[in-house]
Amino acid sequence: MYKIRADMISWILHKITGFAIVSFLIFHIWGMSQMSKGPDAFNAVIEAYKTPLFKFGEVLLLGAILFHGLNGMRIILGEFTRWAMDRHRLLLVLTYMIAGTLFIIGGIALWRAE
Amino acid sequence: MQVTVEIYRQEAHSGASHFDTFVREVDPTDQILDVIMEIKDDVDGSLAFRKSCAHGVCGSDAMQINGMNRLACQTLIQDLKSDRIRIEPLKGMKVLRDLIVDMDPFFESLAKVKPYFIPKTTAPAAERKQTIEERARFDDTTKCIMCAACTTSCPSFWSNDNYLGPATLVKAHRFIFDSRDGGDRERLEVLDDRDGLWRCHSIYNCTDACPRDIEITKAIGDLKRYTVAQR
Amino acid sequence: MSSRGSKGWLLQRISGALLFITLGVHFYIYHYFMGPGMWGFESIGYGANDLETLRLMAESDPTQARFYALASLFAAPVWKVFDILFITLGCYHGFYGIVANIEDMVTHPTWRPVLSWLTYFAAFILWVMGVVTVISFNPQLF
Ligand code: FES
Repeated sequence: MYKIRADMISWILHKITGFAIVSFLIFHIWGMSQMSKGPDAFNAVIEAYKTPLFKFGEVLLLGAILFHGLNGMRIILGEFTRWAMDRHRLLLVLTYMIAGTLFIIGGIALWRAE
Repeated sequence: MQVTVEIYRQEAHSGASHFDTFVREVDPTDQILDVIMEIKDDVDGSLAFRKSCAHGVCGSDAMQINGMNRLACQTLIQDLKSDRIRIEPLKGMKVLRDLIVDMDPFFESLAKVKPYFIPKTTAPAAERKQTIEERARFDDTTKCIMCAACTTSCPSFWSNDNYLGPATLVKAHRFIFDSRDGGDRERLEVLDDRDGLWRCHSIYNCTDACPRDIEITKAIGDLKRYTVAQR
Repeated sequence: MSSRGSKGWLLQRISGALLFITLGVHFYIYHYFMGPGMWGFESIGYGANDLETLRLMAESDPTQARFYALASLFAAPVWKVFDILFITLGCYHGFYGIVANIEDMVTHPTWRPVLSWLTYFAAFILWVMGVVTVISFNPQLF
């Protein structure tokens, strides 16, 4: 078993969160297409969103987007500047920390929202 | 001190594999290479592995030591901070026997980027001059000893063995950023490929694995930016 | 010289960076700024007449207020442009990411291009679905 390093974990998480977000994108575009069918069809979708299962999914989605977005910016920075490459470990830790903090704050807020 | 050494064994013909365990009395300053050579001499003469210089120069004894690609001749017992040592062949390569892997695909990949000087101009009367800055640009990547530790530490290579691999990209870097060299276009043609540069996802396993401390991921970053700017 | 990956690599980074910004705006506008009953869009560009119609519609049926509030935003030309940009970026970046994963893992000479093209095709279908929804949307129909 090859040793799993922090950069490798971020690469795997980037893939997983990417797939999750694409799945949601498909679902979301379909949900929005229900708007064209008028208030009733749309509200049916909105009601479904309010069930605990969907709320839980929403919180996970927030986490996925936060990580994928911030880690993505880190990747861009790292591949375009030698400056960031010299500090890739620090930037990685920062990515996890910022994403984690925002996830906790935002996740609680989302879960509590009506 | 006493260490327990687990070594991967594979038969050449049947391909059957298992781990052999040896308990050895060692000094903390012994090389891993010392330990496996003693095992071969004293306990089991059938143990197969590659080595030559024993000083981190020839690049023949790269192997997985406790889950990391290292040169056996450059890794000391005390570096491992553990009394259990697990030794496996390089990952993602065909094992021929025990710790010996088939290096042919690795060298074929290197050959693809033309790892030799392609002159830009016809030979001048004296030597081809280069400034200190021009030389410094590719200094890091001249240090490669082609041990394959980087390529076989790369998850992209594990899942796709058509991928050129970090070692090949390091070689390309060494010549592309040489001001005297004129082979950029042919090399970029090879690098800008679905199995070339773009399979690198900056995972840094290669940089971590390199026994010569080449900053491989950084070199690949240079190549990516250069390739995008050129094409 | 033809590109075999370099353009895709660059575009993936550009679209990623743009998505970082547009997703922030999208999320802020639709899920925060536009809470139910919050007619916050007044300041961000929808014609007053139509707005008045929508407000009347919402008042006549308060349970549907959220729909009308969202609908008014969804119908504003500036947000139509924004949404189309957003859908385009999302579809491109997301599905190219899947193609990159296919190229990472699938080495079979037939399956690799087949799966990649299927992915591009799926992206196109989804993109058309999204763009048609955005363009054809007209709240006056309800
Ligand atoms: S034996 Fe030569 S590099 Fe280790």
